[in-house]
Amino acid sequence: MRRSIAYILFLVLLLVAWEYFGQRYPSVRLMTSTPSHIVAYFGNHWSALLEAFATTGLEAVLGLLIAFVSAMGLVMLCMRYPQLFDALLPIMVTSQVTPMIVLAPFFVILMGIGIASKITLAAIMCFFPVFISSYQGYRTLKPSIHELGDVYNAGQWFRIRRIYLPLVMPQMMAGLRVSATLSVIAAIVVEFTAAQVGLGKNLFLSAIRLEPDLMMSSLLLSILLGALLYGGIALIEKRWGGWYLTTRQADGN
Amino acid sequence: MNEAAASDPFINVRDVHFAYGDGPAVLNGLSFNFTLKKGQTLAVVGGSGSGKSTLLRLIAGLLPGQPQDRSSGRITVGGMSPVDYRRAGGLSFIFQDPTLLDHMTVAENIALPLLTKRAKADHANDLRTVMEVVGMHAHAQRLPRELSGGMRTRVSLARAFVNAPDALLLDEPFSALDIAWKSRLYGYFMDLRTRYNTTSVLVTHDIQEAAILGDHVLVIGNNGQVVFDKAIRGIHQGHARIAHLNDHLKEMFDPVIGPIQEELMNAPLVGNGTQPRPFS
Repeated sequence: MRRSIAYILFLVLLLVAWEYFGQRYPSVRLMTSTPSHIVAYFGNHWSALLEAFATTGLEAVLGLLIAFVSAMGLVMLCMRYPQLFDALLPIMVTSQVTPMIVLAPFFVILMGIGIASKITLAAIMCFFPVFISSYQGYRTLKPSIHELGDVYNAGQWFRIRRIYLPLVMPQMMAGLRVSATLSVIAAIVVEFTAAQVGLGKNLFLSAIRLEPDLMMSSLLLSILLGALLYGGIALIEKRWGGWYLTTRQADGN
Repeated sequence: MNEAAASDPFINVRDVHFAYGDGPAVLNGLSFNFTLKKGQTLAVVGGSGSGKSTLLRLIAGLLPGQPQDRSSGRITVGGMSPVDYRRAGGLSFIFQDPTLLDHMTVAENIALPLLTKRAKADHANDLRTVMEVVGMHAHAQRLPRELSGGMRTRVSLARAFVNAPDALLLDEPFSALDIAWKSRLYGYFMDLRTRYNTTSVLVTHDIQEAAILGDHVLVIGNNGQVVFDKAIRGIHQGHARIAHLNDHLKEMFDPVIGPIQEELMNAPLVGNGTQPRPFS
């Protein structure tokens, strides 16, 4: 409680200082805008800003969703056929040493300046963390977990659905948290390259047009988007991850 | 079961060699031929590295698990190959680590053998019975990580009996428990095996445990061969009923353990109360 009060006080102090120096020195306002200018800008342009926010948000969420579904599908296939993972590993490593954002122009040329190119790159960037951490979780299961399935003649599908997937959930969620941030980065970077609407486009334009109000409002919305995605994943984990998040412990009898 | 079948060797192990991958031989020509009556327990005693866990996994048909594993010799269980016997569905196994599924409640963990595809459907009553025998019915909805080591072992014991198994293999499941817990779990085990008339093979390094639970004790020596093979009059055979054994154990242990246990129970938990994991 005391800490959050201190935190809010610090924030208010920062805003006041920002406003003061922005009003006093035009060069500061030119670089960073001021809180009052940002609020005013938001008031005048809220529908355009919201459209950009929604577009970038949609790209990030769809990219993340596609990555999640395909990564978990492949994890399930690798649980069934472990040889598949060994075969895929070199491809995975190659794809990871490629700095993914260099692919942005490629996807724009391939798919145009609409949302498809953004969704694609977001999906590609989000895929690896979910896949590799989930599969790593599977590989580190105790051998007796597998033997348990053998002893009771559990079918492959039963094992994957009722045993393996729930047990890798902690690692899967860790991968998803990394991917949530990556999805926003990917969408914005492709928008830098070319876009009709989007926070990335706003940011790019604000730099070449020297519009600090546009830059700061888009920047704040980008942070909000990342926070919303991260928070959404934390909520999902809280709802279904109770069995490993619980802090209740043995009472010794 | 007719007389002839009853006297057939239940488990037959003939000249078995085994090595994991290209590692050294774990079992080197182990041979025994064994007749267990229904409901009896064979206790196999051996030191660390004597290959007793490997032997148990061979009997369960869990090994060889990798194509690189080298094995030879012949094992039959109930006249079948181990894998066939296991697939027929009458087998249970208790692991050294309780091996509970952390995302399932106690009740779901115990019911696991009934959920898989070869499970027989008529065990609804057994679920209640085994939970009551091991005293976990009051904890049915708790999660494994909320349980102490002794409780986890009780859950794994209940799970092993829920499918009313004909044969049960135990890989020293009691070795990590203190003596007070051991004596209680011996009681639960004997109660359950009598109830379901289960034939069991217990692997242990503890000679006392073998003497208490076994009808027949077999010792694997450092040379990898059977050095002792004898039907014994287990402590429990002197008593007509399991209840007497529990009384006997209580009588034996309580004067010593009671006060210690009381002391331990009343002592405040050290640190944050986290249980050390026995096999991590």
